[in-house]
Amino acid sequence: MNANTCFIVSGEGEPVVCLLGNSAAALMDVLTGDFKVLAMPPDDMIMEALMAAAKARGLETFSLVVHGADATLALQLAAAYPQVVQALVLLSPLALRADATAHDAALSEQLPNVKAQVLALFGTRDKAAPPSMGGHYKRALANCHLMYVYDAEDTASERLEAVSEVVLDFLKRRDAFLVNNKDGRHHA
Amino acid sequence: MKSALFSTCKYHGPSVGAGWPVTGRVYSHEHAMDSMQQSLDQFRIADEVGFDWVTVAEHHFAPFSLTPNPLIMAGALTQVVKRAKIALLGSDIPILNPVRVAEEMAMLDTMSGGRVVAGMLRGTANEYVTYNINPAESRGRFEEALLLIKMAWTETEPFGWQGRYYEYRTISLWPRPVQKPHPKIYMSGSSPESAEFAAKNRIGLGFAVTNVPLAKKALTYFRAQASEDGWEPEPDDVIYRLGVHCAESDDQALEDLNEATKGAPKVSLTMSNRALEGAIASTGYYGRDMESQRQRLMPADLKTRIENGQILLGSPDTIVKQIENIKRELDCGVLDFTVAHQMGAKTNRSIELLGEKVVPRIANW
Repeated sequence: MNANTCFIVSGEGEPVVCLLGNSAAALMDVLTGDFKVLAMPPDDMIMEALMAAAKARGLETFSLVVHGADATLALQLAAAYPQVVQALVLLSPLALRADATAHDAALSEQLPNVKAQVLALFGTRDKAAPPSMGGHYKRALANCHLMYVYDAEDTASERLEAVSEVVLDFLKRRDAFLVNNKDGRHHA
Repeated sequence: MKSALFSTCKYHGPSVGAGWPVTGRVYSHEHAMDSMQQSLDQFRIADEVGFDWVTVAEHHFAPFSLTPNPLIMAGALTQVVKRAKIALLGSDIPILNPVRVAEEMAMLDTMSGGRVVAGMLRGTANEYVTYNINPAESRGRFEEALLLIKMAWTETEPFGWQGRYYEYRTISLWPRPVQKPHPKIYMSGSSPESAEFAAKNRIGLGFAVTNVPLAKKALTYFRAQASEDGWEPEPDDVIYRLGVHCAESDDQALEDLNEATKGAPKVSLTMSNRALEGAIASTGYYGRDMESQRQRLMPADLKTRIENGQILLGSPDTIVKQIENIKRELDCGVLDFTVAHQMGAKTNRSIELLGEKVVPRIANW
């Protein structure tokens, strides 16, 4: 892997590293409206390569948006570099098994070290990462917000408007995203 | 077969005209208080004489029913009804805050020691005007709200919900339902869309403001859909609601009812404002089976209503025979007896007769 060429950079703002496949291209497009998005193909990604690539781009800190099985890598990264990884967005994550143990044996021990704020999204129709898994992430991670996306099977590629709205809000405001800041007036 | 007693909490004071909404210019709070007390008394008697459930429902802006929030009435019932289940048939969830509904039903289940039956309805068409909700969104709101309420009852960790119609950043219910995983859920089942959703989600069906032939047709479709989804509904998965008045003799029951219904509106809430109903129908509210859905709301004479299983009228023996036919046609597990009209002592006697001479005879059917 070449740390200088594996990133596709677009947008301006706080840096957000996306490990997302083509199915999430529309979501990444939305993110570029508010953030500097550094997109890295998820295949064969390893922690050291990602950190080297980030360093090559001069990133001191960044947030991570990942999908499916890449949740393992993202959580390991957040555990190992708590000063670097500011926030995590896990789209339909596949890091934990149904019995709440991690697919990667080492991750189980690392999870308590994840201090970053996490937003974990699950589609209510998802069979691979079913909503019943959501509670496991909430209990395993110190600062995890659990979000169910109604009528979605895969949160990386479906219900773009709903997913991007909450992901953007979380990345911008972190914990404060719990507080509604929309104008509720019907008429001026 | 289980027996439920539904008192609509009908206002029996002075009122101006019919239609919907109904003006309150001659409203009498004394009569309203008395009407509510009569309903509470009817529920108490039903509990004492052996009914399995008591039932409350939601309607707005008309003297037809004084329970715009049936959960408040149910809260009172937790202190009045000591044994029977308290059936909310139901909350009109598409026009309400579903998290609030989940919280209130969980409160009731806790206050009643796990006796809540959770009916969730779309409501009559006019209800969409009540809180200014687009009727075209009725089914979408209903399906999402129902799944959100189930999630709120079962998910023990705080969670957010990013829906089409509902958005919450964090939800965590206190108190939580006593019944596990949650109170039994019913929904209205008259339309094919409802049958399909209920079958897919293994939800019981309730039938009201319909008749036996139409309910039978809808149930046949529901059971076929359930079979495709890999399950077979039990009789207890089906509630059939109908009017009732029972007296010592058939003649007395007819005389009572004729006297009580003199000058009473002959049309349902929905059809009492035809222009409004037409406007709502044009939004697609009724779905793909619109004509038969509207047809079941049309008024019918008493003889037709008895023949079609919309009302039980007569002595206990006569009523048992009428129920035999309904059971044979529908194989429903719950009959929701609606007191046909508020007649004071006569209605109370009707409930007593049903409890003493009808409920025990159908209990093992």
